[in-house]
Amino acid sequence: MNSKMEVAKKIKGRDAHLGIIGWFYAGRYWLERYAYIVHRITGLAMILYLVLHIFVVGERAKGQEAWNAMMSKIQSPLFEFLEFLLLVAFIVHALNGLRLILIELGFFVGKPSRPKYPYRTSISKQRPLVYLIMLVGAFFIVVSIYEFFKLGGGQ
Amino acid sequence: MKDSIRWIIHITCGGILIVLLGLHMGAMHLPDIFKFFYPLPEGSDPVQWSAVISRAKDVTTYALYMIFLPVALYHGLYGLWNVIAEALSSRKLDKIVGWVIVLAGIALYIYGAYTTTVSFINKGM
Repeated sequence: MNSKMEVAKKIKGRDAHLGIIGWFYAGRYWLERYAYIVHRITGLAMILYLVLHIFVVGERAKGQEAWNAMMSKIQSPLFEFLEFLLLVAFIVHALNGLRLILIELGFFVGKPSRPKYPYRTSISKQRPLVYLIMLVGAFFIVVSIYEFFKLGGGQ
Repeated sequence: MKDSIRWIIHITCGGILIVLLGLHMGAMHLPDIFKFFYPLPEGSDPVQWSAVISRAKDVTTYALYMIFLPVALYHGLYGLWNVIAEALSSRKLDKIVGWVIVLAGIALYIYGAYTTTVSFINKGM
């Protein structure tokens, strides 16, 4: 079998992808690709949390005793830190998701043009949006650290 | 259902979640900042029983939870299915995983909606 046929067979069988390793290989896509990797990891963390959350919160239907027993199990410094990580995951996922929705709707990609050589890329139009969400995200994370860990005092 | 329709629902749910989950996260984890949305008595915790049950009995909160739950489940589980499908090399396996996720989503929705409704209507609490 010649090499072209082998490649065609792999693509048809979907063996040509890089698999999970491909998540961590940004190649020349750089920042947007890393944003995509972080988006996936935070998304997976949140769906796992949502499933657990439905069962934990469901305890309230069993009454006060069951609720307090559940809270005593999960109110520890470790769980509090995990909840903080969840909050950070939400901030990152939501802001990057907003960026993806804007791009999906055709914002920040420039005007469409015919594919004439030398080809134009929309990276220069998209990149400022990535920097903007990184700045806004950093601001929200700093505010969250301050408030979550009560750095300004209070209970 | 076409992939394009599923994708449009996915990003629509994402947009709704930015607002709803943002308010929920803020009210639960940053109560001093989000007191405009969910005021708590001074020094009380959003997860203490009295606060939990007062939210559960509030008709607006109940309605929000009932919208929030399917939106979050659809967005999260559709995203999960996409991640898993990308790692699989068989379209047949994709479909099987897809149906398992759909059934899990329905079961989670039924359980979540049931406990939310029981907490809302049960006068003994």
